[in-house]
Amino acid sequence: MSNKILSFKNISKSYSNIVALEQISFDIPKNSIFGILGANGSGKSTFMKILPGLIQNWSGEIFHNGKFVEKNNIKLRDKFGYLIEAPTFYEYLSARKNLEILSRISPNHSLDIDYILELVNLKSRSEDKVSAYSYGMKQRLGIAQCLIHNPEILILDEPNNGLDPNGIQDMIKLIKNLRTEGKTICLSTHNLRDVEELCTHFTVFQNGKNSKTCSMEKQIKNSKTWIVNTKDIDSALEKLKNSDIFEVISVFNKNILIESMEIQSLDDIHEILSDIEIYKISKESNLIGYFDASKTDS
Amino acid sequence: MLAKLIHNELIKVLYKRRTYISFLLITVLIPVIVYAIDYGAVSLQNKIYGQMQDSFIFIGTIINGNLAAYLIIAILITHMPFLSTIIPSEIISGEYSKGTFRLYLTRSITRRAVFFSKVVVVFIYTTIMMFYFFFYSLFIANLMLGPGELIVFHKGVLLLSEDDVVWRFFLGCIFSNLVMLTIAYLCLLFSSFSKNSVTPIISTISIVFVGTAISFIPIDIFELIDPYLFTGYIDIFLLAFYYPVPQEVFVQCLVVCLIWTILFILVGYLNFSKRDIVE
Repeated sequence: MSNKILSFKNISKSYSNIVALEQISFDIPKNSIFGILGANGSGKSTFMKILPGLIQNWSGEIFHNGKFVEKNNIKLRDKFGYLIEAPTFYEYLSARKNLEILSRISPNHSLDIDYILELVNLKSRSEDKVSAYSYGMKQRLGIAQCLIHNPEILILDEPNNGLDPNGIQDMIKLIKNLRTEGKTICLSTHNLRDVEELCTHFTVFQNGKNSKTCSMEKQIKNSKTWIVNTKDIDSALEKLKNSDIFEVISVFNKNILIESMEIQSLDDIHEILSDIEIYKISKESNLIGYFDASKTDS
Repeated sequence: MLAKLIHNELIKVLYKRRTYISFLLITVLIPVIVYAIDYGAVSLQNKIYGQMQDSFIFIGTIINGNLAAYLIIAILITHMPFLSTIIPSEIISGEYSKGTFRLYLTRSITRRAVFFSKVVVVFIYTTIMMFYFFFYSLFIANLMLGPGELIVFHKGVLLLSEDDVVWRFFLGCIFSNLVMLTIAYLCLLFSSFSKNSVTPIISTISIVFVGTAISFIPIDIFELIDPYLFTGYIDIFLLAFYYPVPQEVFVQCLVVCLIWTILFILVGYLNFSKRDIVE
């Protein structure tokens, strides 16, 4: 049986003479955290609105568990939880009332509102009007409304947008927990760290097209970029510059960012820096490369 | 599912402050006007007597609760279109502009059901408001001035007995409500196109204004088209106090308002169902 829970084939969308999406195709594996990476205006949000039917006239095909999904398939929406763009609620109502409204139109297997509020750490503020909430709280409530009908796939559009570092950490933890509960998560972001820290797979959007789809494991394996964290930065720099294998890209704090000509192993770096005290060597995903390319293209 | 959607729409409407603006205005304004009528009763009576004192001798006073309610409704009915746009103006556009459709329309519900739940709520709101306006006026006026025979002008002087008044208010209320519903659905139509709640109000009131002007300007072409415009029936309430009641005009009003209402709802629905939610 296929591991793909969701497949998109040749998704295109135009607004009068502007092409927003062009022949987007990729597969989302089951129980993955799938990142859609792209610069602002690359078409991520437009794409996110296609599946829930917020955008009507588009072309292409979507498959769920290998089965073709008809456009505006209402029943299928039960299997998805959406957080599209900034979290928006009926601000004059309490968080609980907002969830009650959404629960009422969700399928019968809706989860208990108290349980959901507890999960996103909002139970103590559940009777407050949403207008009194901070952005981070609204974002967490956004996740809560996604979960109310216990969907198998969560579609999150920039879930970390506007959050402070603590909020981002909470969100990352929450998303990872949801994956351990068996859910598949598809999130869009322009933040490379989100993808590196969270995603098991990713695709890159550039000017309405997706250029690359890959697992994060494979991306890191194929990466030629490393960060060396060392005590003796000058000696390490000299040795790396003198080696034929590595090129020094940049130096920051006690870190040296290097790139190899070929795919190298950790042992190669240890061999060159054998007599230098090293704190840590880590391989970088080098997602920035795609991002720069997308900026250059546009 | 439609019942659940209506339930949701009612909660959304009931928790908004703007819902209560019209009720608050009516509640405060009517007693003030009734008091003013009572206070200026002598002067008002003289003005009415002045037109008839050569032909009639009145014993007692003609100023009573029924006359006050009749005058209040006759004066304020032309302003009711504005109040009837308060909820429909933002029932769709408000959700576009605040982005709440991104929450709502991603559920397993059809846009048709969402739209018609809003249609039902507009019906409920407008009808309650109109009945409140009519019968609160009648209640307060009778409470403050007491009941009595109602004197109106129709082909001369028409004196309606106390027993003959309430059903006429009821008839006037039903048909005035029909006209206000048509106006409310016109506003709902504009709401489905707009991204803010002000544009639908301005557009609706402008159309009502132009339509009303057509009714009042005695030009042949206007007189020809006026019976087919719902705006020509805004003051149909007055006809409920004619003797005999002109049934053909009420039937005409019913047909015209229903046709316009269906048209507004249909166009609004078609636009809503095809619109991309990009806000």
